Amino acid sequence: MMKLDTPLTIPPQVMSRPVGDETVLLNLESGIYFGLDGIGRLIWESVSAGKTLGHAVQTIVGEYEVDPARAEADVLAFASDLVDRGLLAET
Amino acid sequence: MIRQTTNEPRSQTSLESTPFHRYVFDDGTVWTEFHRSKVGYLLRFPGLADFEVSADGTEVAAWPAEDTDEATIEHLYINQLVPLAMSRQGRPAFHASVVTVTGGAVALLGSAGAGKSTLAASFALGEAGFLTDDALLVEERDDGFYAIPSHPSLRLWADSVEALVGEPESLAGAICYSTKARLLAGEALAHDVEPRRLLAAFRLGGNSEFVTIKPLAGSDRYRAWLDNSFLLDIEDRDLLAQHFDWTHRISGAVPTFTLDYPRDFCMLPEVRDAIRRHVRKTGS
Repeated sequence: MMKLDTPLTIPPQVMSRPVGDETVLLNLESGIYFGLDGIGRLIWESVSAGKTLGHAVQTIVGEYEVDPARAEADVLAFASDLVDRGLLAET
Repeated sequence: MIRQTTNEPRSQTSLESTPFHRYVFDDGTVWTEFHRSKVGYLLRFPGLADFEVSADGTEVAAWPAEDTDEATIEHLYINQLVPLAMSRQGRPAFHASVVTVTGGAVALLGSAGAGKSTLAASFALGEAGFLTDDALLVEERDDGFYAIPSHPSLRLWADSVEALVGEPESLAGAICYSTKARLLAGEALAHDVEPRRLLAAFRLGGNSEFVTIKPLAGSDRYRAWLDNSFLLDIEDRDLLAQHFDWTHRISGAVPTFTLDYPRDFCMLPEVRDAIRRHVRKTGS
């Protein structure tokens, strides 16, 4: 089960590029592209920088003034979805 | 560069390989099957022709089906094989018509039937010219992305020909899978032979009551280019990665908009003016 301190990495088959206020991802294995904005982008930037999901939650709470428990649930759900899609890997 | 050869017609016997990719029309008709072959790739256009493309994209050999004429082979070569083979060489190619405007060129992005050729013809019959009808090849230079001129012909449906041209003086040979007429550039239909810097791109949208132009940003902008890409080998990771970067760079460098407009020939001058005004206004 994923936690806020679960170490995550970007698999080698995944490329990302910033596009305006969003980040575009490509999974080279499946050839499928994804676009991330808002919270998704913040999570991606945290993982890219080698930080934990807990860091992403702190950033989101600071920027969006949302309830910390809600932010934590959203971040964990979103990160799990990225793992399921092969865009992030648990290490 | 691509070396092209055309062989004697042969029947399209069934292939042992399973295609790794297909282009399929909305009605389920298969337009292109992509197979791997000993030399690289075999692209089958059912009922029309087979084309073998070398693994590096520098050689294309055509095998027309038995009833396929030269004009069809030429058309397939120019509008399908060249952009696909160039993509194999690492050169980006997109589904777009390109027309000249003051200071550069504008790309009209869109899939088949979007109205690219009709709009491009309306530019080229006026004071502008067109660089390409259907396949945009680009070159990245220090000051931006340049559109490379392609074959000097435009394909139009009969109603577009009648509304825009009347009785055309120059028609290229008809192609056997479409009733579209091919108009050759000439005095009336201007073809621009110089590479031009892309000032903007417009993704053609649907029929609407008014001419509406809206900027595209973020992943929507990226997708406007990606969805209109030619890519020969969608399973080649290096090629995918390269194309990902190309699309990222061009979508970041060329301001991109959606363009909805009334599909009414009388409105085309207004559409052209709107595009020109918009390019000037945005300082593209």
